[in-house]
Amino acid sequence: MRLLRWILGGVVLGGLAGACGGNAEQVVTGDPDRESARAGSGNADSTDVGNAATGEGRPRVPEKHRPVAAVCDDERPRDQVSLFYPVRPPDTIACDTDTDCPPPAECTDCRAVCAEAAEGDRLCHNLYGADACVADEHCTRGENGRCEDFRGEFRCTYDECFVDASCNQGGPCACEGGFWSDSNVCLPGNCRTDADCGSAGYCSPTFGDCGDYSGVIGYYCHTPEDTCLDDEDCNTSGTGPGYCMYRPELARWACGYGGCVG
Amino acid sequence: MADAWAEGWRTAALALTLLLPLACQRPAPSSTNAELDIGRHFVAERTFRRTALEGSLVNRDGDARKRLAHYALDPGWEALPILNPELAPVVAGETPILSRLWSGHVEWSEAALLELGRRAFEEWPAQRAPYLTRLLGSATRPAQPSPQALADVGAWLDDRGRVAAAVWVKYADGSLEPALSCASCHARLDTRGHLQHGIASDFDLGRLTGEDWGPGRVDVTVDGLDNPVATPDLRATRHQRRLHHAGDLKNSLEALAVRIETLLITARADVVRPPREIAFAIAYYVWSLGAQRPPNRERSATFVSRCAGCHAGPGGEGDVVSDAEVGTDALATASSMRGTGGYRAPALYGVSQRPRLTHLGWPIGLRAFLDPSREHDMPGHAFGFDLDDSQRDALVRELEQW
Repeated sequence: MRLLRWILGGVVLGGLAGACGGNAEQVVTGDPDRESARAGSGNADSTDVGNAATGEGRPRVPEKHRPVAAVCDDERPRDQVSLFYPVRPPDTIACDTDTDCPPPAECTDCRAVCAEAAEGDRLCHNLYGADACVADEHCTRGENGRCEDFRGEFRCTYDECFVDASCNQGGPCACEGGFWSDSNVCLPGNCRTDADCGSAGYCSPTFGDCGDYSGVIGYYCHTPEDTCLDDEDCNTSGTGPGYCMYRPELARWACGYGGCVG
Repeated sequence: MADAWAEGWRTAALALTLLLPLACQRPAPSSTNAELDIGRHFVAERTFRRTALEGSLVNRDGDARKRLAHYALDPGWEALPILNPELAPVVAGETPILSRLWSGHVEWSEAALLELGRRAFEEWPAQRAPYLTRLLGSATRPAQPSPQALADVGAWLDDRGRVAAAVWVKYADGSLEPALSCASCHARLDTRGHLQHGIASDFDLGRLTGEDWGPGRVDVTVDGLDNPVATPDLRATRHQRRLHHAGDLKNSLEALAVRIETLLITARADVVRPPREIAFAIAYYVWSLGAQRPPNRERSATFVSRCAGCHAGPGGEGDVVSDAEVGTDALATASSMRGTGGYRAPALYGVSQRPRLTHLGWPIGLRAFLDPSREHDMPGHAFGFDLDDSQRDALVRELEQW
């Protein structure tokens, strides 16, 4: 497992504001107003995180939190997928339009499309499943459909949301927060901005278990029972650096060290 | 009188001879009181657990360090809250009906523990898997995953409509989230769509999480290396001399129970622990999976000369063999978490049924495995390459009996 990626991931998380173009993005590093509440310096002990939910006795501000809601832009780059690297080779049937391509007989939710294959040739491609694609034009079931390459599997992604109000999983609309994708997605959680966490509370992004696998999985309020506030609080296990993550089993934040079952 | 005794023994022997085949067809093994006693001690005695941990460790560094620092110590992990959430198997397109798997009590008998272990193997939430919602939808708005979407990640729909042995879990904060069970990686559909426990699945966790591991492979070690290994065949567990591909644990039922309990703790960031009865029941059940056939058998001269140097035990198991001698690679053996400098010689129980071979998970059968023409794509473990076709066929037939 790539431990280094978590550390880099933390840096990336902290810098997501810039990564989302001109959007007011979810995660910020520091907050001038709240920084004044900082009492301790740098590497606090994991038990010295204060009451991040209420601000009482709070020694510092979480490195990553979401002070304000974002409005995602409506821009997504097109044609990111190379048509010359299809995971499933195109059929040998030459075509001009989709109607020239017979759908595969053995599959009920499959389609066949006519698409460029190489050097200007147009060949039939069988698409297995409603979200399969070989070009952006095949992604028509939602907003800003794009055909993306997920390690050899081409799948359509769409912008699920542009504002938090479009989401109903408890968390915010994450601009360009899709799984290995620049699509906007609704995330789970119990907050969207710091204001949802009480006065002077903080709403922060969390990775899941097994390191940064699958990236940020939700946004949650810090609580008085937290045993960490930032990743830097999680360097004490003796098994390498950890990261501060939300634990639904306890409804609070605690250090994770990337342990996976197996 | 002597004749009467002799006649009685002959009758008893005949009855035993007739009944033995029936006993051997039982789906579960006949347990010994010693195994149940191990479970009693494991559940009740911290010192027993600690002794089992320390006795199982080949190294005291890496993976072992955290366990030595926290396991079976007061307070240590003994003080962790017990996870016992409401849960339900993921059934495609259905809203889950939640209940607790662990009632707080189990009759301490072979049948009851195996049944608890069987259920826990398939339903206990071993690993959080929020990324599965991309496939399953949410618990309140479940989706019907397409066969292609399931196939893309090596998942399946079994004959009960369950998806990849995943479960919905309700946590203390009220959230409902999918999780993987042991069976998500260690079970496979038979030709009728029934889930067979123990044998490795084709589940491609990497595709779901953005890693390039490939089906039936996973990298679980926090060692800074990209070193995925094959999901092992758990039916062979009771026959192994060592646990893990790198063989960093000495095997026994109590060692397995400790390992299962501790991995269920570390996989949840050391913040909760499973009910100890659940940990033992899973271990006991896994132990039972390899008890359907006796391990002792005749060895051919070919096996003795080409295989038995490493696969020496009654189940074909052996000690750790250096990575240089195995000749495949040194990635997993170099792991700071589990590395031993070599790979265990795995037990051969059910080896011909495995979808993948070696710790690297080569997707080939025994015949191709013993064929030197594979070496260009899959180098290493060159034992038996000198056999002619008839000898190779005979060895494959022999291994099919294991």
